[in-house]
Amino acid sequence: MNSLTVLHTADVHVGLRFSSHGEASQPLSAARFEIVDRVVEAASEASADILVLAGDLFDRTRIPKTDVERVCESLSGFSGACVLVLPGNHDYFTAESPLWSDFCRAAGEHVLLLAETRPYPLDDYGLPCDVWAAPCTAKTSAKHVLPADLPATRRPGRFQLGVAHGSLVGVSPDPKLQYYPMTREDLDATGVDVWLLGHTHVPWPEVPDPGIRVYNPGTPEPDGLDYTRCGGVFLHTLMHPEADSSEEPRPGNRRTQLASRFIATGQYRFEHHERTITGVPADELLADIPGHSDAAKTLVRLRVHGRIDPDFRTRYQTLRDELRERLLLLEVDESELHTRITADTICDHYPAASFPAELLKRLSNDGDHEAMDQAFRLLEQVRNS
Amino acid sequence: MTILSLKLHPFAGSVDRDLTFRSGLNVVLGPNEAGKSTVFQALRHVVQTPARLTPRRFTDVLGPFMPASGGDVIRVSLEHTDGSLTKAWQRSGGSARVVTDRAEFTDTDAVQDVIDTWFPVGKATTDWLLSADQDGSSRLFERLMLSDAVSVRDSLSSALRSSLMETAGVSVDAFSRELDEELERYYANWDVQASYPKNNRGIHNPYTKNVGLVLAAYYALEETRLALKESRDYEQAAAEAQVSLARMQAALSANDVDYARLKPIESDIQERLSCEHELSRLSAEHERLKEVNRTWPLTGERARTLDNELKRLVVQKKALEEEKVAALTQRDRVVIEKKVNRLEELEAAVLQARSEASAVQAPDAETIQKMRRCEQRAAQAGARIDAERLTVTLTSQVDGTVIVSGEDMVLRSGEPSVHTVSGRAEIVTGDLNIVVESGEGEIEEAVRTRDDATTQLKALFEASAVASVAEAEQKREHAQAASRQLEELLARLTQASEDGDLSTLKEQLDELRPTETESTASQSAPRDPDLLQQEQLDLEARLVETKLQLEQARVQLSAWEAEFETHEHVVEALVEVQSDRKNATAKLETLASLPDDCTDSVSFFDRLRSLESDRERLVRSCSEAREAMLRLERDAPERSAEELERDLSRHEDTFARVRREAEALERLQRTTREVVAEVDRRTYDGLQTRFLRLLGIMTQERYSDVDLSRDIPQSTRVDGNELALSLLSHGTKETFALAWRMAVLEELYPDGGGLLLLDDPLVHLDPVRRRGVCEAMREISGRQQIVMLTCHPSFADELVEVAGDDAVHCIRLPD
Repeated sequence: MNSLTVLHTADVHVGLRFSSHGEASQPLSAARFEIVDRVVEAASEASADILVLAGDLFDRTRIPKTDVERVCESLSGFSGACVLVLPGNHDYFTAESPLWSDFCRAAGEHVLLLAETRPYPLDDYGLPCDVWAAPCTAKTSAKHVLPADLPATRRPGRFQLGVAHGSLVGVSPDPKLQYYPMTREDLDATGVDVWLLGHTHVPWPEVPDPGIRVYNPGTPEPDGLDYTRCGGVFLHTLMHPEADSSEEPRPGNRRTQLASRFIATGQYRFEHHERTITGVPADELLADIPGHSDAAKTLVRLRVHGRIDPDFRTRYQTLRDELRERLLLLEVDESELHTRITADTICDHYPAASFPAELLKRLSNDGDHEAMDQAFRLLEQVRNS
Repeated sequence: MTILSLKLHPFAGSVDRDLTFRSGLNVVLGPNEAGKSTVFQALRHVVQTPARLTPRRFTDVLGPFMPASGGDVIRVSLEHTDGSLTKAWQRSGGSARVVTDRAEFTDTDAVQDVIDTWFPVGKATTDWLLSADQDGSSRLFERLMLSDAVSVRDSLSSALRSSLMETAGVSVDAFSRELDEELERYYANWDVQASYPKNNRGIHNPYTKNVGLVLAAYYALEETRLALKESRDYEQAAAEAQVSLARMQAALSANDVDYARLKPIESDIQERLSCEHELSRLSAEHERLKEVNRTWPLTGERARTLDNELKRLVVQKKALEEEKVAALTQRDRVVIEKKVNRLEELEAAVLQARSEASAVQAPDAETIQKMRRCEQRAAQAGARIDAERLTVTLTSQVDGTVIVSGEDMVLRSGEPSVHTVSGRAEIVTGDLNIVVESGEGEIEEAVRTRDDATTQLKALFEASAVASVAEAEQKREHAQAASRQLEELLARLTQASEDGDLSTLKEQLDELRPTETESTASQSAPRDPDLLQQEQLDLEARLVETKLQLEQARVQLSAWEAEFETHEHVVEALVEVQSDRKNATAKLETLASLPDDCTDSVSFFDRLRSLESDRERLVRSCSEAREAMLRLERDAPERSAEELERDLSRHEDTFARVRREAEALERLQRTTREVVAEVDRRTYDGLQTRFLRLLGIMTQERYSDVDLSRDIPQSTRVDGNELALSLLSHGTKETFALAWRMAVLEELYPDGGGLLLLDDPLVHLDPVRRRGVCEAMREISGRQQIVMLTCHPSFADELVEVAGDDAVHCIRLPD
């Protein structure tokens, strides 16, 4: 067997509740299950030999048994040789963990839990491959224990995969270095063919490169505004050269060839938009939101600022509400959007020297836009009641 | 609102009268008795008088308007631009009906509500100001100043304020209420001052009802904060538990390794320990036997030596005791001898002293005292005699002798001889006996005294065998010294005789005197008894020590004999022990040796027991830790810390935003109050301005300078003189009242739609004022409806002339 195809994903976070997302929380939570099915489907379609889940398959160490069983049921649909599941820092492994006990009971035989820091030969699955696992055993750790003595124990003619979960120094946002930090240098020095990482929800590298032997696929289904692009997985193909395949590779001089590509899997998108209104909002103010086609599966945080003409506030609100109707969730921050109330505006709406005019003038002179917004709103409300 | 028609069917004298009106100026013209007042009253009552009245009230209010033609019902219908109103009154009750574009009401309360919307200024205000009859006009201000008009003025003030505060479709009160409600919506149960829920009802005891937006945001934030803390605590606890468990498991593994290394050699080490103990015992026994072997002969020899020494010491002790007795006797003898000698010496001294004392004849103290007195008297008399000194100068013509005071004196011729005598000089020359005395003969007495004293003194000296007082005193001191010496010797003799008198001591001495045998035996002088005593003590100590050592040696020898019988047997035992040692050493070499980290078998077993104990403890601890972890995971929070951190950030943003909005509302409320207060201050500004303007039109600016207190004019200035309102003419008062009523109408209905009912307002005015009033009426008729009732056609003509024919709707009542 001269090639090995691996579909590499991580950070599914089954069990994430999105409780602050209102009505969107239910579909978003359900999406964590659905993405497992889609990843399995993608792996099967790509004829992958191995499906690797490099940590944080689950969001917590306490997941209802039925949810665990549902995930295992999904994984059983993989048509390749085996599924490798590595405990991450969210679903870290302990010998007594009910999560992993439930998982192991429910998982099929082709699912291998990489619960220990050691090499796992995959001969039982008919694969000439050794997997060097570096699972997490706690939520945080200032140091990641990588399998030791790799070069000394590796066997020639076999593929060597490393699977680890943690931050990649210089890439992942881990300023306190508390999430199992790893450096590319340390990983490269191990001499495995490719390290399959998880933890950071943003894919790295952006563009796969055969020279890079450390990959982090990000989450297959985005779960927050820290990643606004489409979720996906990496498909890696490892190949031995035709000749001298039995020659033992040396660290830094690998003979195994690697080809990787990114496959989009996510359905949901998180977007952040900012708009400025000066006077009259344009009809197309919000027309380019969302940035991709499936608005019903898009969550947008919209920040609007500026000064809006009071006669056009309703128009803006209509545009905004129409957008909200289209989207799965729209969060709007209008704290910096004020009504543009000028002397002319006051004259147009209220007789001179009337109470509303005097009040608005006073607030305008004070430069208190927030109070003026409230005043104008309430005045209109009273007048129209 | 503009009245379009009024129908009386019937009302007072009108059985079925129908009048039409239009906006602007309307003049109801008719001669006296034509029914103008009936129209006036019908218009007032249809608007203001409720349909249902008590019979008494009905009689009081509407009794005068019962149909003159008969019947018990009066009825008035009013049609205007906003709808129509019909009221029918009768003693037994009444009915009302309102029809608007949108609805029809017959319920009296509902009807009144609709009427209130048409005439919002209230009945009293309408009565007093807008539909005052002719008689009331000139006394309007005086009546308004009375206390019963307070409510009218308040009502007017309120209406004016409302007209000011409710412009542009916005009621200030409604706005303030809305603002208050909005603030309440934000701040319900939130303590702004403390920036905390009211009544200290934080997240642990939250409100469930009436939760304002700020409070809700706060609770959401705190709830998330608590959940985050719980999640972090859980994660921390889980991590610590995991680390702790891992540490225990590592310790258990290390324990296992150690235990596996030590346990298999435990029996060997146990035997080694026994062997080592035996070897140790044999070594000790060997050493002991060696020592017995060595010391047995020495101890026997020592016992013999000590026995001899003991005997020698006993003999020495006896001799020493005898010597000590002799020495003590000798010392007693010497002591007594010394005492005897001493007593003898003292007795001799006493005899000598007694002899000396008795030999001294010293005057006694009294004699010496007498001597002193005599000597003193003689001295005093002598001093007096000396004080009476005389100098006698004798000069003879020839040499010769003369006796001066008993002394022979030789005189040389021509040479004066000077003699100095005391008090008296007696010169005898030849037969001449010359006595010269100083004073008047007292000197004789002094001389006698001196001589007596001197004579007595001499006698005393002779009796005491002394020549002077000093000698007598010296002699007496000598005698006293001898006496004291005798007493001292006697005392010393008494003290020395305390141990016995001389004879007794001598007897003792005789008893202690050595026999001749003893004298012969002790050739040398006896030694000091104290030295002998010390020597005796040393000897006894040596005796005790020697006895003890001898006893010990004998005990030791007895013990050995009891154990070994003979010395030869000790040698045999020694050989046997050496053999046993050799065997034990050989066996020790066959056993497993101690691990390097154990210094001896004891430390080995300590280590092994410690490992077993640690292992048991670690297994138990691991089990407990696993159970604790399971419990911990069972209670794990629903959301991860990361998710909660994101939620917390959102809630913090929300809380801050809501607080900002609420604070903006607070600022808005403050500003609103300030603006309202300011607008309130301007309540009467419009009325005053309008009043002055209309008054100026009516009076051709004659009364342009009027002082108003809030709503009512107080005084005016005419030709520079201040004039109280009460002093104005009847016509001027009516002019002021008309201007003021029109101004009020304009203020109350700034957007138009008001109705002013004027009952012959021009009748008391001069032509100029009438024209001015007509011009003022024309001025406001563009916005307000005015119905003027008059019986003077010329007034109607004048109004037409001022306002224009088309502008005046004239309703002529038939005669």
